[in-house]
Amino acid sequence: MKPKFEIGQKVKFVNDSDDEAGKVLGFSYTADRGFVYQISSKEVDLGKKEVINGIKSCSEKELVAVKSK
Amino acid sequence: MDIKNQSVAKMIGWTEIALFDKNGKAKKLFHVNKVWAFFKKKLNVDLKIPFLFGNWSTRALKFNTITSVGKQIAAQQTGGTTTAPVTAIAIGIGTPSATALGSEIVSGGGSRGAATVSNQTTTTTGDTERWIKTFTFTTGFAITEEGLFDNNTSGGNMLASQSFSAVNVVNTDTLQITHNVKFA
Repeated sequence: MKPKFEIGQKVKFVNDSDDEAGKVLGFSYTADRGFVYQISSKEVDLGKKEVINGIKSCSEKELVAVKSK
Repeated sequence: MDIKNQSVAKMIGWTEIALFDKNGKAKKLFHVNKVWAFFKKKLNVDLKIPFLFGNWSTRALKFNTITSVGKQIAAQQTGGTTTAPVTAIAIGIGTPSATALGSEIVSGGGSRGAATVSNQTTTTTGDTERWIKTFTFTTGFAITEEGLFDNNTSGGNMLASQSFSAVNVVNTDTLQITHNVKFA
């Protein structure tokens, strides 16, 4: 069994725009969910006008690869 | 077992909602109070009368309801007996039940999705988990509910939810939901 995405690869949640893509930080595997990836994510707090750094957790089928510009 | 005199932990959640037009200009929302919540629960009416039921603000804040299954999720996360973290924010046009949103939006830019999750400090270091998701709409909606889920696309378990005075969005509007859960 091999993960579809590598650590450091640029990916995005399927419904997100390319601008919202992040890098794979890590992944885990369980029998019930398969590979689950943690990807880097940023949001701009529009009210406070500051960048919030966080993560998104997504299963393999919820992610698509994004080409680095 | 008597646990009354033992150390107690609580979960307190609240949500901030901000709405912007296509030019990034903030739109005013009705920031409701407990009187509004009482009438909403008893009569299912959404009364936007300033001072009596709340106030107009560009950043509405409201405390949420932690569900029973939400307490289970939190307990399971603590011990690692679940492999499904709470990762998504969903919005809808109904009233939430104990387990799901009443009428979740699944189109027009309002579909559920993975939120940006971070650990924040409210009172003591790292006591708050924060979910942020920004929706950009292609259709108009009157949004009245929001919830946190452990599934990014559909179904799953709902950690917390809330209902609020209808937020009317139109095509090209951007709605940012910031949901915080603090452990105290």
